[in-house]
Amino acid sequence: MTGSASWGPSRSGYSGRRARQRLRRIWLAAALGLATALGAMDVAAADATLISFLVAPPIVAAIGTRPRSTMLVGAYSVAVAVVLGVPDHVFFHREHLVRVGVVALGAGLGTWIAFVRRGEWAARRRYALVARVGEITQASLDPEVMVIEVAKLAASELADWCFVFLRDDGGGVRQVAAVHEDPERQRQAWELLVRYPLDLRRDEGPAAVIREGRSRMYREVDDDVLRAISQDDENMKLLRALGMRSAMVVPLAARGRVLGAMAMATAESGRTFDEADLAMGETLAARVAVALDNAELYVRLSRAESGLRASRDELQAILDGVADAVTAQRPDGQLVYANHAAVRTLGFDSVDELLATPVDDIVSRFEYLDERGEPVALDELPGRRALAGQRSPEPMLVQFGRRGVPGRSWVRIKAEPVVDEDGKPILAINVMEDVTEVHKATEAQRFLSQASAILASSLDYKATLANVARLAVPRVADWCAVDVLENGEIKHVSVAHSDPAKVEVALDFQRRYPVDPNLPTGVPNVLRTGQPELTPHVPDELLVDSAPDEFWLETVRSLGMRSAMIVPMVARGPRMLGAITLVSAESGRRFDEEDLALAQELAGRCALAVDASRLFRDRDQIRQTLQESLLPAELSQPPGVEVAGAFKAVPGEGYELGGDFYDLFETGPGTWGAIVGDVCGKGPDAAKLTAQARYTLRTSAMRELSPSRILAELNEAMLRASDDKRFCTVLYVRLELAGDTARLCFSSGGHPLPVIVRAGGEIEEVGEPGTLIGVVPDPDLEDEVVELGPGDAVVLYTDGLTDASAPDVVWDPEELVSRVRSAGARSADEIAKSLLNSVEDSSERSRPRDDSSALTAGRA
Amino acid sequence: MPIGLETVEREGALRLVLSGELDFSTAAEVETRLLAVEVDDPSPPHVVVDLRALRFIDSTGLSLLVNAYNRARAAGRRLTIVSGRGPARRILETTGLLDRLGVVEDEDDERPQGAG
Repeated sequence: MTGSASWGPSRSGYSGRRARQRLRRIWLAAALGLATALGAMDVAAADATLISFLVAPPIVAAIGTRPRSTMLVGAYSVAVAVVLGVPDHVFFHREHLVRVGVVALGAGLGTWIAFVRRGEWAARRRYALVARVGEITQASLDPEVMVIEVAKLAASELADWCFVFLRDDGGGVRQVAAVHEDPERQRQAWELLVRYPLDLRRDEGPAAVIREGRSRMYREVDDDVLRAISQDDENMKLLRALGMRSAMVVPLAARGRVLGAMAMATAESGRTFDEADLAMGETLAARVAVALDNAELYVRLSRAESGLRASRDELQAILDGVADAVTAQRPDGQLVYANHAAVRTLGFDSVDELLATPVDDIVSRFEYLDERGEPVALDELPGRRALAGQRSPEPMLVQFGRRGVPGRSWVRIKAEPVVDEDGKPILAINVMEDVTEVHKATEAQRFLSQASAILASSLDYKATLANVARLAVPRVADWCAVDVLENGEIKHVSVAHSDPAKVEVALDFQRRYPVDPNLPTGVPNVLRTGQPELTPHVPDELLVDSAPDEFWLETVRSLGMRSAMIVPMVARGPRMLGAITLVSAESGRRFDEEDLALAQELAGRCALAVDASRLFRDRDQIRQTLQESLLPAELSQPPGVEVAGAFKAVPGEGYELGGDFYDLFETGPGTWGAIVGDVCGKGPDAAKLTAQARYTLRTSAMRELSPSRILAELNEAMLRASDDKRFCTVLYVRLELAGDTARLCFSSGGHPLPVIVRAGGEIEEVGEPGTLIGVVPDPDLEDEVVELGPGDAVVLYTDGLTDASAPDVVWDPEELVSRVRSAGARSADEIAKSLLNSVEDSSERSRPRDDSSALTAGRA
Repeated sequence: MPIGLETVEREGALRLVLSGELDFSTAAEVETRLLAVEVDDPSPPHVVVDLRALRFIDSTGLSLLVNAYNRARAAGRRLTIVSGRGPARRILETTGLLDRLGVVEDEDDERPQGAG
């Protein structure tokens, strides 16, 4: 701030003061010279009358010097007048005394004049100073520049030093000016202030003034004062170096706020401030403070104004930039504002054109349909509701389109009323958000997930494909046809249209015109190449060119085909499964790449479903084959005993392999081994163990007679296979046939016990259950014996039989057997088969819970 | 086939209360929970598997119980199976496991008979 060497703007700067001082000295010298000259002339002329002329020098001095100098000149003149009485020989004569009296009178008059002049001059000077400050503050200067100018003025007219401190927004204080005539001293002061910024906690000086808002005067700046304002010894040393003699600090206060302080001090001039100086300082400070305050207010005002303008422009830019159509509507419906998007949406070329069009004309160009495609009454639109006084009416999703033009957009309309002071709506602000893409995407996803649900509902893929085709119309297309490739032949699976009569026409058409697999376009082409076909627009020429005869052309024309796409269904492999044809007719929609993508996604899901259903079918076949391989294909028949085995897998697809097994084999002359078992759990691992258990039992039975020991061997074998935490229940029966007797020796390892059916009809369960095989090293296994008389039969089974309807019903095996017997089952084969069938019939579940097996042996 | 699974702590024992049907389709879930209990606290003083509310249990469910029992024994933990009088008891009886697994019929029998 203060680096400038020029003190320009100040008219009465330092140079002026120095010139005035010089002038005063010259004037003083002249007055003294005049008195001396008069004295010399008097001596030379020896005429006492000349003494009277000594009255002139004080008067001359009064005009050009200060009162002090005038007094000096006056005293000198009186002294000269007294001394001149000696050479003139009139010393202390009456005449001499009169002349000295005249000179003394002149000296007094001069002094008086000098005092009066000084007072006038001081007043004038003050007035000039205040006027100058006014000029500075009114010039549209930067507040800081203004402060510096005033400080310069104060430093030249009122003091030797002037410092200005201003409060900043952050509650601190910054030094704005430190002015002295000498740039070198000024730099010194500035460095001091930079090094020791004003500490607001000081008890004296600017800090105290800013804090209290009251002026402080230091007539004599002594060490006590310096100590009170300095922060440490170094600070004090530097302050002392400024050479301040007398000082005053005045607050810069406006509207009750202290904005800062102005400190002035005398130094080399040696002046001592008085009350008048303080009053002057305060006046100056008040002017500056008001100017600062105004400047701040102005800045705030202009900031606020520019902010307001900016935000208005910004709002306009934002509204024009948003993709949503925004309009403002008067209570009579007329539009008073529309952004660019609204102009576009409503099909106008400019805002002015739109606003100039009567609202009824605009409205009549469009139709609004709700989500179900029903027309929406205008009064239901949110904008109308808002104008009717409703606050934040429910946003509405409507299909919106120009009358007579195909294609609809989906818009979400929101509205909010603007109300006057009485709460009466004066405007409705409408926002129309174009959600066509979102809506399409949502609809597409919904459609796809519904299609997936249909596809997952059944493994009968032809039925599900037909359902999917029905789902597709009219949401995705007006027509949907599905064809599959079966053994290289194209088979129509389904044709769907929302009008059954039209479907009939299409079916008739398909019968009449079988597909030529060599067609270069259409379904045969898509199936051949695996590439989809999209025909956004089907021109009549295309139909004419493709028509084999007039009826074909007529029929196809009557369908009103507009746009078509054919997408392939490709399974893993890749294997071509078929194609889906989607046709747009009466809806007038044109398929685009997005529609094609949706169709391809649909075809992909269909392909997956068809593939899965084939896989499940294959897997089910494998499962059944495997399960059956675990059971003997044909049971050997011991003499005199009829044996029958039956197994029923849980019907249907997707079920896991069960662990049921049974077997019958000859172990020696007249002895047979029969086993029925169930490995805990399901799946391929269970099936593997089933086979192992069966062969382990067969091997043991060759060496060992006791059923319990045979089971114990199996138990050991299973415990040894420690990696496999599986168990099984097994019933082993040794059948001994000797002559007329048949004896059953058996042991159960946690398996349901044998049921004996006596020839007389009694039915009993025999034996005691042993321990599950594969759990403990010392299972409880007992051999039990039961005789089988003529006509008696034994039924061995797995718990799938009794648990089929669990948990609702758990069958009692005896009751089951008695039921099949009373239904007429007599032979072992009949009993076994009827048992399993009865289970299925009586089951209240859609299918039995588990596989079930029965092995029966009956004596003739 | 739904399975209900509830874990409660009572009298220093961690109780796993099963309800519904424990079979091939639900056993995995129960096994996971059981393993989680074992992993969370390798040495809970006492784990009780309460089967009284089970409406059905098949051989897969049975395997689960046997395996849990064997694991507990190997880890020196106390595991009590409360069978109730329903289907769980029936299958445990048929397979000869009532004594082998230290099965108790009711809660009150837990302490005197508690196997570990």
